[in-house]
Amino acid sequence: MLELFASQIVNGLAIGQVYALIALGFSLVFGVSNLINFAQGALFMLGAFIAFTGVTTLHLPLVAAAALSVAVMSLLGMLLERLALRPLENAPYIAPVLSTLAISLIVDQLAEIIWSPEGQAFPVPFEEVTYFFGSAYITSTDLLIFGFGAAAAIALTLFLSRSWLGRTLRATAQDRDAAAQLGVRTSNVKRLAFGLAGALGALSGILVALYFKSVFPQMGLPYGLKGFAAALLGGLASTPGAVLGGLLLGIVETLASAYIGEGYRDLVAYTLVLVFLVFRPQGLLGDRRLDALGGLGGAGGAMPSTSVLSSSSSQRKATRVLELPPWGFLAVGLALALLPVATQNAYVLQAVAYAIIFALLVASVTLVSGSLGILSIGHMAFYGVGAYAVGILARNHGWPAEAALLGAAAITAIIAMVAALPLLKLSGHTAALGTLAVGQIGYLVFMTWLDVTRGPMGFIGIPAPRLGLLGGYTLASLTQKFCLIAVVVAVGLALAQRLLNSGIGRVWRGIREDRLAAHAAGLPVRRYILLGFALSGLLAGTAGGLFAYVQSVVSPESFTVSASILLLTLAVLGGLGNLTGAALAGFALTLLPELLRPFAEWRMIAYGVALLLMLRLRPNGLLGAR
Amino acid sequence: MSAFSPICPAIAEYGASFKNAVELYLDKVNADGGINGRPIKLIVEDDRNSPQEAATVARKIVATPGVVLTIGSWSTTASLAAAPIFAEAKIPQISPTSSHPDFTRQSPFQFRQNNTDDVLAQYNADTIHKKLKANRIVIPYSQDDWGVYTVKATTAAIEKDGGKVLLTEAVIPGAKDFRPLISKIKAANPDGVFIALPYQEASIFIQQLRQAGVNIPAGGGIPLTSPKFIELAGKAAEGVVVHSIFFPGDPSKKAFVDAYQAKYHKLPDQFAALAYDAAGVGVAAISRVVQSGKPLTGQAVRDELANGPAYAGVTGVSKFENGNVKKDPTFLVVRDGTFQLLQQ
Repeated sequence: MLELFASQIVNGLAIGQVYALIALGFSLVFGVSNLINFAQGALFMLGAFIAFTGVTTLHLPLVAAAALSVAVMSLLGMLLERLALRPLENAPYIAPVLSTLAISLIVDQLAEIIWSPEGQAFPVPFEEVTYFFGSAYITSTDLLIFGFGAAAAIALTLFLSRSWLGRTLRATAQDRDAAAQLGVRTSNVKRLAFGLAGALGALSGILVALYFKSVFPQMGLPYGLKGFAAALLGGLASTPGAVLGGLLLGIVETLASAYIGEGYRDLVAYTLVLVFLVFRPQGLLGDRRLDALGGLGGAGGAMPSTSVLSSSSSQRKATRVLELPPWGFLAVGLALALLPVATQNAYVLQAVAYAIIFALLVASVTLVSGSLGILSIGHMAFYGVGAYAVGILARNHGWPAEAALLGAAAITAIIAMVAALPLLKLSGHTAALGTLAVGQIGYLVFMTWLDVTRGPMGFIGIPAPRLGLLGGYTLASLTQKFCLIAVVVAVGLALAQRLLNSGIGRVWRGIREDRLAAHAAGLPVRRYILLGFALSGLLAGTAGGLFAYVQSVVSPESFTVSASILLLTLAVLGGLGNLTGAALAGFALTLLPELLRPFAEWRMIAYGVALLLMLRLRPNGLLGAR
Repeated sequence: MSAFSPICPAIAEYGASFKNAVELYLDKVNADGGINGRPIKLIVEDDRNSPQEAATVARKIVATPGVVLTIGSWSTTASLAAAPIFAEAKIPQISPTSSHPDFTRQSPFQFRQNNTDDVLAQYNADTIHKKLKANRIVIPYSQDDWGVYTVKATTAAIEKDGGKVLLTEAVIPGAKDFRPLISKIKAANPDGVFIALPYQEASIFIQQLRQAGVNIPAGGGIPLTSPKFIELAGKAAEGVVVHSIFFPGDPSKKAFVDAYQAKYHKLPDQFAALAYDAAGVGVAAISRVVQSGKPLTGQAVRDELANGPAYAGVTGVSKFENGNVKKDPTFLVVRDGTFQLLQQ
């Protein structure tokens, strides 16, 4: 028993050092630019694939292919900084994060197009040896990863703490303007950091490819997320912390897999992240010095602010905001409800129905991310809760549609509020990471709670909505369901807009602009944040419930973190905090890909490019951030 | 006629052979003048192996005028999501590969081309227990409709035959690190492992298993008959025994294998063969409807499928009984990087 436990610890260390290596790239960029680089996962995947191409197509020896990959990725890292981040230096704080998100969307999809979506065998030139210690074992690849990982960590630590260049890197992170005044070429410094991050990404990608003896275009996101989680556990900006966090994550999830079940490993891993966020948000080895200066942006800006919309050069610019009045949503909803008069084509109605539901969903995202200023990268979890809740209430308990939808909305509101509790103390990028953990936990719960959700098999047989108030009238056809959706969404959006126009909305925006000032002004900040999450959950839950009714089948892959990222993208495109913009972006950009179905694989790339352009040209979104 | 199957993510390899085979068959029919001089038109849609996309695509297909038969989807989960839509539109649906017994229970419009999991479970048990002579068996299985049902039915079949299942463990789709599971397997000390995983997960699992020095015999079901399994698993795949209802090395299938290889430059796998037969049995039913002079509707094609004569295809004989078929297995072993007939 003890022997098995010991061998599981060894297994945990083996995978943990892989996570540690990925986490190093994150903490480097975070330490230098206070930026959570979502593209690190993409760099990691790309590094592995360039080495793969070097070995298979160019017939290079592995060492040469690896060197090539590291060189190319360093250049690409610098290019990333030049194209996606430098132009946004004076843009709102949120812009660089979203920019790296956009890059990762583009790169991941391009890799699927170039190398096919399939996994490929990574040729390992040397014979692998396994060393046994009782029932535990390590392989020569483990030792290789350990060697490179330790060398990289030590070199990086020495470079940052001892060398002149390393010190300029850290100085730039603390205060860009002050460093510049002292003669540091800050733009070169940042480029250097991203080049290093690219090289680290390539290195970790190649080692992971050796570990699994294969490469997958989809490996960027899951391993990127694990790398994040590891960096967060260790303390975001700390190099030894990244290593420690990676090892801890590896051991915890291996033990979860060994003693709870293989299916629970990720659930336990992300729960650990959330627990850390609540009780030790600075991580194992991190410190909170930056927070004392007014949050992550505080050190660099003209005035400390928690706002995601203000930039380092100024508070936010005044922009024109286009929005509908509350009754406008009702009018548009009514007009859409009449669509079945024009066409009975089930395919068209179904596509428009999804688009309407997404309008409500993106509106719920903008409520939290825009008005409240807490970037949410996990909203699909709330959407999913609503969908499963309607499924359970309507199918298992036979509730009529009104009661099931209200019940689902209420359940989601409560869950969203509980999920917000650990986020209360966090701000800026750390809060975004918290919502990411929430989103991932939601997805994994849908995946593993088989008794309730049936996991990947999908929750099937959700009955058609039955209206209790109309004497049990059942909306069996898609046309009837369509009208229900249009009406419910219109009413939901009208009420939400009314709320944003009211004093409550003003308080939310006040909290977003300056949480400290709002607090000092006597506003119960925590209560307002919880209220915001609850109402956002209410909308998202309703959207999820409607989705379950149209679909009649609900399965977890509708609620992934990548879908949540997409939602946030849509909210930004529409203009953060602008309900009309969110609804419009959600509606139009859900419908558009249906029209372009033959080009489905280019869909994500188009979103990514649109987001990049928008951040450059109209950082406040199509209809203006409010 | 329409086909829908995953053409995108990790399942793409399956989806491609599926689409290729249907196109190959229809090209042949149309080159011979179609049915009574009328060509058969094929509409292909990608469902990304997601139940949600499958439902959307199904709506799109039934809204297309003139569709009288549909072939798809690849997984039971996606096929099930689409089934009520085809049943409502009265268009028969032949899933070449869906093996869950529930699929053909949906309505009289659902048919399949491969054995149900109940039949396959017995073949699984035969593979590991009779052919590989293992008595103390562990089964990692994928946590989806197919895996959950397979592990239950296979365990029952093994235990009925006197074997023992020591450990079964659910694996989430996309899992890649199996070392904790392998340490558990080592501790249980089995003498055989039956792998109920998709080929991608299975190829990583078997490599990590062999790496850990566990050299017990391994058997697998239909997913492992994909050539991609051997390609990804490399040397670790050697000696794995699988059962299949199609083997391209079989001389009696030469015409199909040669035609497929000439067009797509690779060997057809079992999925291609099943899809080829699905197209074959479907076209046969359509042409019987046309010959009989009845109006060509989905309902008429369904009746011909259900009541028609047996159809001899490349995967065996199809004679539908409540939408199901029963075909005999061939046992294969991986040797020198290819599948070969298992000599007993």
